[in-house]
Amino acid sequence: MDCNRVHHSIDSGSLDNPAPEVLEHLASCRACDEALRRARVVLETLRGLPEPPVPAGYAERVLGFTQAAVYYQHRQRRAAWAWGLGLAAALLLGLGIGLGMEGTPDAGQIDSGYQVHDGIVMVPVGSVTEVHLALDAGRPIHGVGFVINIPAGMELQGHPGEHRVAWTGELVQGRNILNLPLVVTSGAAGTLEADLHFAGRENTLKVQVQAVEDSALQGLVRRLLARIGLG
Amino acid sequence: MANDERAGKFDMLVRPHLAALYRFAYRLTGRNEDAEDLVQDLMVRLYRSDQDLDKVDALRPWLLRSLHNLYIDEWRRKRRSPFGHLDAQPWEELLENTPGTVNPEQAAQSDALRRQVLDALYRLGREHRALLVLHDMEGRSLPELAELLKLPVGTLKSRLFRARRKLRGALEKGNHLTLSDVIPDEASEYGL
Repeated sequence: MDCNRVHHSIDSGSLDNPAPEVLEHLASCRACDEALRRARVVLETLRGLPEPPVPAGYAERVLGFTQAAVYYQHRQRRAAWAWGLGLAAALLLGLGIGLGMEGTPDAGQIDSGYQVHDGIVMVPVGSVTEVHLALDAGRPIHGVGFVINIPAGMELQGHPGEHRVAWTGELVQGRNILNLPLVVTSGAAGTLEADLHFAGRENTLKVQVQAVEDSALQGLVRRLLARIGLG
Repeated sequence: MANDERAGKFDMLVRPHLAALYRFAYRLTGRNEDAEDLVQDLMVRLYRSDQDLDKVDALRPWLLRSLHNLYIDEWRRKRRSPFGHLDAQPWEELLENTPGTVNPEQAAQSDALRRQVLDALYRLGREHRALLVLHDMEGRSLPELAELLKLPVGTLKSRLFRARRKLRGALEKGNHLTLSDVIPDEASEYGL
């Protein structure tokens, strides 16, 4: 049996009891023996995960919601509308900028790599800067659609050239921080929009972003802070 | 059938299987809220459908298969945050409270390995991840899975082959698995 067949056997069969011909090959092939060892460690890691405990009240929650959902089926549109209104009332959307989540950030203070002047986020050119959006929810909300619209001259790290990035997620009760890794080019300025969709409704958060050339001094300070673990 | 009677019958039939469905859903999604949502979605669909559950042979496997198919077919369109900041890491809430070994150093290494493997697992496609959950995590054999998922053993075998390759690729791509550095002691524990 050659190495390719042994590797195929390792990847598609039982790792606990390899076939005799595989064992015979392993006895004389260190590379395949190592491959089996690695595969077994991964397998044991997966098998060794704890059993997920069932959350308290889960069965009642699921069954209760199921019956309520079907009971109101004939009033689905009205119910969905009412639910949407309820959510709108429950969801307080706020926009905070920077790490100072208490309210207005200090102008001129460097927070996580960017500054704020007159409500405009000033993002240094040439590096990845996380812009923080704070979303306050009055209750947990599932299935929220997020759409980030990115102005020209900017992009999110990992999404080169994309001016619209969308996904579905959840909001936990209380403050949710959405960190957007922003990269800007020199001279870029515009409005970054975060659209949230839930229960047929939509809310938009807008933040003005402007590119700034990182001064040599700021860059030096930031690098020094980073080196001592404070950046 | 009256609403109350129908609700009572549905409750009686599915309640004994809800815990198993939740655990399976948690392993598929890696998060408590997603697991509850997935089971909830299945229950609403079943309740709304005309499916007569008391006529289903071996209800638990049937429910598990339904959950698996719902996850593979319907939840594809559901995208998670590409930045991961609003979502907890897979299994985060469980692993925080479950140290791997007694020795602190080994515990840290074991914990790091678990997180790396899970990170790679949840970067796979749903179909491959589901098969690794069922086969490698839950320890079900291919013939068992053939019966559960109503798929030929050969199909599952080739799918398992691709899934393990992709998992290994995901681990190696991120320089995640460096066994000789990370877990020399654990490797010997496994008798390797």
